[in-house]
Amino acid sequence: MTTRRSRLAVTAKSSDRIVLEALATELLGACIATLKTHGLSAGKLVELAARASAKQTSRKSAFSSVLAEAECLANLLNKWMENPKYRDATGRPAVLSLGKGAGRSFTALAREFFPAWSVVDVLAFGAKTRVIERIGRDKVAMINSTVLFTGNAPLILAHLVRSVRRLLGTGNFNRRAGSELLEGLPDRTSIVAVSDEEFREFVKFIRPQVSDWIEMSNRWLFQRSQSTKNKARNKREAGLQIFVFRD
Amino acid sequence: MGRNGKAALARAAMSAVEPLVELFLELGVTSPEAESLLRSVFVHKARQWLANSSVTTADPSDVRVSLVTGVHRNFVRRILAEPPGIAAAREQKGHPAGRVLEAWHSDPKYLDSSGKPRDLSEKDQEPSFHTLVLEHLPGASPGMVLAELHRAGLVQLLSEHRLRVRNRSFRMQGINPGNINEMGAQARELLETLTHNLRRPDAPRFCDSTRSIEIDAGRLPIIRDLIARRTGTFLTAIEQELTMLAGSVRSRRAGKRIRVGLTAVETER
Repeated sequence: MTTRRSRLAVTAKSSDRIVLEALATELLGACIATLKTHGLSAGKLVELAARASAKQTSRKSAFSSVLAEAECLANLLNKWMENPKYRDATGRPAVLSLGKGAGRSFTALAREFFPAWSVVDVLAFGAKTRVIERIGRDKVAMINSTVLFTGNAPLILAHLVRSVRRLLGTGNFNRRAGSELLEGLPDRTSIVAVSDEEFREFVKFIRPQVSDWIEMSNRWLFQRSQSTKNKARNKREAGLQIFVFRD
Repeated sequence: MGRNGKAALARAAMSAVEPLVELFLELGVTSPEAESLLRSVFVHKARQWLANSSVTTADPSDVRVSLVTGVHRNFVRRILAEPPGIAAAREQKGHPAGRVLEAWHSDPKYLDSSGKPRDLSEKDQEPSFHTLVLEHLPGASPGMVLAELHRAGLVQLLSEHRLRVRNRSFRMQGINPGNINEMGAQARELLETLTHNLRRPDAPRFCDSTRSIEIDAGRLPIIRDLIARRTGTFLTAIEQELTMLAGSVRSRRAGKRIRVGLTAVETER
């Protein structure tokens, strides 16, 4: 009986191993296929994979530096959106002046979040990422609250790497979490086969809601992080990421 | 009546109708809508007039009403089938400026990254309101359209010649018969739901509220804007979801139909 049990355990372990290796191959294959579209050859990718597996990858890695500027801009927009001082009489982010005086101005925000940059460079970066636009010669308006990477391959790749890392982190957390329903981090998927036209309609339908969820999540986290009682505590970044996909 | 007599009558009628036309303009009633309304009243009144002047008790025929009104008998039948009002076909056409509002809410060029209509520059910066009007209401003067939309309370003028759209469809804001009617309908719906829930706690309709939260009065614009945007998105989504569900059920089995809706209301005290 004991022999039979141990045989079953060995079979189960080896079957788990096969599944694990198949999934690992699939994950690596998906990453390799994407990286190839960015111009990396198969040989180079093998070399990079060997280098990556030889050392422990740090939390602060290449994507951090690539995305650092985008994050500074996101933080600038956050303050513009969330700080009542930067809102107009209608409750929306105000049109700001480019004046050098003290008080509410785009210049003050640019200096706070991009201390090493000139205001002109911050303006150009904001316009390139389609979050701000110039109003006449000396004013600027926020036109989007989200920094867009669309069309910018290096930023998109850096964003992808960070997204994958976050997704894997959530997966790891849930792997270790207990079996209680509310112990894991929420990770939900909706998936149905649809035509191209239906997919376009779906994107149109879901876009405002995705934006609202992100805005709500951001506001909650931002306001909570600003509270004085939380300032001294050891903090790690947390958030919500939503994306539409099509296989 | 002779030609001169008709001309004199037309002048007198014009004087009488002019204040009414002014009122229509103020209320956003278009000329086709007003013409449809007049035709409907004309036909209904003609039938009553013929009935009163007839020696028999029988209702005048559609053909007879058609003869005295000059309206084709098929239209007479259709008009008399309903109380006097604006024909649905005319009403659906709506105000021409409605096309500008619709485009502002749906043309990707005029939306922000969240798919909502963005604030526009009046004309200096693209995408501008000026271009929006030229593209979607060719032949109309952007300045006139803006004045009309602003008068109706549908576009908000911001600083730096920037504009914000406030509604997707053309409808006059403020105290007017249409809005008072709408207010009555909404109040009735709310009371019906509350009364239903009192009577049928076993099968309640959804009715829930947030806890009232005290805020600094100076932050009211931010809160109002937040509620408007968040709830607007939610209502649009639930409307689409209900429409899809209604469509799929209709195709399977026909039966008693009930109109279902959801209303969200901000409260302030």
